[in-house]
Amino acid sequence: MAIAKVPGVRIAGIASAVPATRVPVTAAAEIFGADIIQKISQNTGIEYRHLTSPGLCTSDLCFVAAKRLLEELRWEPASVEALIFVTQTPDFPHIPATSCTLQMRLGLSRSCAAFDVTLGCSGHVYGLWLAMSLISGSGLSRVLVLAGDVASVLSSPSDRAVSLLFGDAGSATAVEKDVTASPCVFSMGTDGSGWKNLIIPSGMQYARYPRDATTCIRRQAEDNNQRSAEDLFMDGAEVFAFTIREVPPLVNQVLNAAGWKLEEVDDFVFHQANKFMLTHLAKTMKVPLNKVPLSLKEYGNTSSASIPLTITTQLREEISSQSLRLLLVGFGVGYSWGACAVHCGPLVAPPVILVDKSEAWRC
Amino acid sequence: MLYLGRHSHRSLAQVTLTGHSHRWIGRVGCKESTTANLCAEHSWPFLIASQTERHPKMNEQEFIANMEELLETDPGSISLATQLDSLEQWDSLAFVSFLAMADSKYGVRVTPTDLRQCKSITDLMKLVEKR
Repeated sequence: MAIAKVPGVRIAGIASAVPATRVPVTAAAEIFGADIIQKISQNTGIEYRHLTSPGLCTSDLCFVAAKRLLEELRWEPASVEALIFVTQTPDFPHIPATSCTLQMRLGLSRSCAAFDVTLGCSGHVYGLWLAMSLISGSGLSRVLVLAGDVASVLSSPSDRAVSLLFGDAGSATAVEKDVTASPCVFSMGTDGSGWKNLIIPSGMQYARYPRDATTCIRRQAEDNNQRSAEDLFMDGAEVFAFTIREVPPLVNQVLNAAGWKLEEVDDFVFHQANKFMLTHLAKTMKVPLNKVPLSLKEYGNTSSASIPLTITTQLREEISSQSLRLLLVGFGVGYSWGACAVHCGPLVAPPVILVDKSEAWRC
Repeated sequence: MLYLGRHSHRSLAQVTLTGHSHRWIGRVGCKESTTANLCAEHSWPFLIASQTERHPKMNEQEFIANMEELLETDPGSISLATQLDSLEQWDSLAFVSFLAMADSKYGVRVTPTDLRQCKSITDLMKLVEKR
């Protein structure tokens, strides 16, 4: 995509929430062996993940984050004019859009526009771009972007390519009209030729590979991992190659468009794919590692929540009290990618919230 | 690097010497010479620009050392002939580490498809020296 510049908008606050259940990656030692776990953990930088329970959905995590954020911002729920829910793990397999139920649960006005966006790793940046564009371009004043996934549930427990990667999280970002704000600069892109490298092939009757009695049967795959057509599949090598191909030019493009020098960026908040990849990217782009905050160790790869979760857990002090030049970079499933150069803060950033399974929506 | 050499008349657009390609960039010498009347009797001195600096000859020892570091094996444990399927450390993580190493140490973007065809350390080395 060409560059999008969105003036007159600011991020007013960010909140995040994770399931209270905290599980070390070593818990999978019985399945894979302690040595393999150690190796994977060292490569990914992931030691713990917060995992959901049956019935505790992405929307519950995002609901808790949004509720806290509205309180701390002192925003009347009725003042929220649009709600964008970014997820690939909605409440219902097909319909209705979960954002509609969130409108109801959050007590938002009936003139609020609510819709879902089905993206993962790039999702938060897309959500921000949409929210900001709605304000800047169509005259709204306040938009909530809720982003997250309970991706841990999507993989086969005996598929070591993916089963130790994903943690569960939800987030809420409040976006508000502000005529004094510097323009936010975005660049997005897509390469659908990577469609089969991060995919759940089957599971629905109407879709490309219709579900049948066999699609849920787990089999040994050529990489010796066990999975079914209804489990998440990832070709790590292809995704890595994609990342090193697309992300450095993306970062350069956004920096140039924003007129920022690399050194002027305070922090590079990447989608938290894995530590090995982010370290390699930082090295390639000559970005000092102390400007690359990570939330991988405690939370794993939290899909579209990973950027806001990293901000609220690693940059909370700074962003609450000062203005930071941030580069947000999301990339992955699709392939889809987006980057945003934004002056961020001071803003409202409550500490990360732990959500008990009893807080799931009773319906 | 500039070389001064001689070549009998043929197209000088691409001159191949010692397995590396060079590019003709100009002529020196006899004022009667023109590109139109080059012939076998008149071999013209010429200037060529070497592209060899951009592609230094692959240092095999260094490549092996890089592989040993990547695979976390002892020095001397692998050779160019070593078959990848005999190495238990050649797993999916090593695979990705190789893509990273090719990128950062050799400036080469290897595709996973090409990487999957490799059977030996030599095959891997050819992937990163092929440009």
